[in-house]
Amino acid sequence: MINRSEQSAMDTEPRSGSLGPELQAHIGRQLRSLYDEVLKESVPDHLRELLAELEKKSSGS
Amino acid sequence: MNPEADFKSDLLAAIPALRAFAASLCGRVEWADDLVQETLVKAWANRNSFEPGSRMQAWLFTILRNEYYSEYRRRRHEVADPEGRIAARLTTHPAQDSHVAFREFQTALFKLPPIHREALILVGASGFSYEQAASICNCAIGTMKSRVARARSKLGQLLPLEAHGSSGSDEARENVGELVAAGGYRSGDC
Repeated sequence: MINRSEQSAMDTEPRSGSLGPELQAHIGRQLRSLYDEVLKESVPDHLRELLAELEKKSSGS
Repeated sequence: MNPEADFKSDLLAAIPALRAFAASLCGRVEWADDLVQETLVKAWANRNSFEPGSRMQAWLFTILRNEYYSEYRRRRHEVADPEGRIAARLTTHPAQDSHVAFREFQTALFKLPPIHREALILVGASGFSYEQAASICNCAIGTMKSRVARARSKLGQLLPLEAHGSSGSDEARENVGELVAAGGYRSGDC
């Protein structure tokens, strides 16, 4: 069962677009694959250098 | 450690999540790194307004998405990218799904309005609750739920039928209300 506040949030969505559980799982899996691919990459050097520069500037001022 | 060194190491630790969010939001790796860079500069400039103890990642995500939307109008012509720039540079692919399905998913994802794609990413991939996601996007929780539902619904229409699986029947579609109401998408289905 869903409670009243959730029901009202759900009512703003068109019911005709409801997804089957397999499709919903597929979307979740693909989305996390995409996200996690970038998440697990190492931090690029230019961003490390940027942080070092920001720190250096503010400690010098 | 001085406070600035602490702040710096917190920013450093947040970079992978910021890059993942930016890349899934804008779909272009170069733009994503520009967004992250701009976010770090702004975060540094506003470091005194960050309240220690609050969730830094949410604070940084807010800066990044504001940056994205302020540039979106100017750069939106660059976004149209049916081939999926991210997919093109990835070296590995999801184990359970084919490369083709992954490409099809990305093509569909980047056809969504960014406000819907963002909602889906925050709740379905970044692991934020609806409440946290709503706070990041400065909207009501009900609005966030509605955006996530619309994003899913539209993806369902855009994805080819084979992605719907064998149980994508009318009966299964009728039952989805309970799944949606159950919440907790990070550990379950999105």
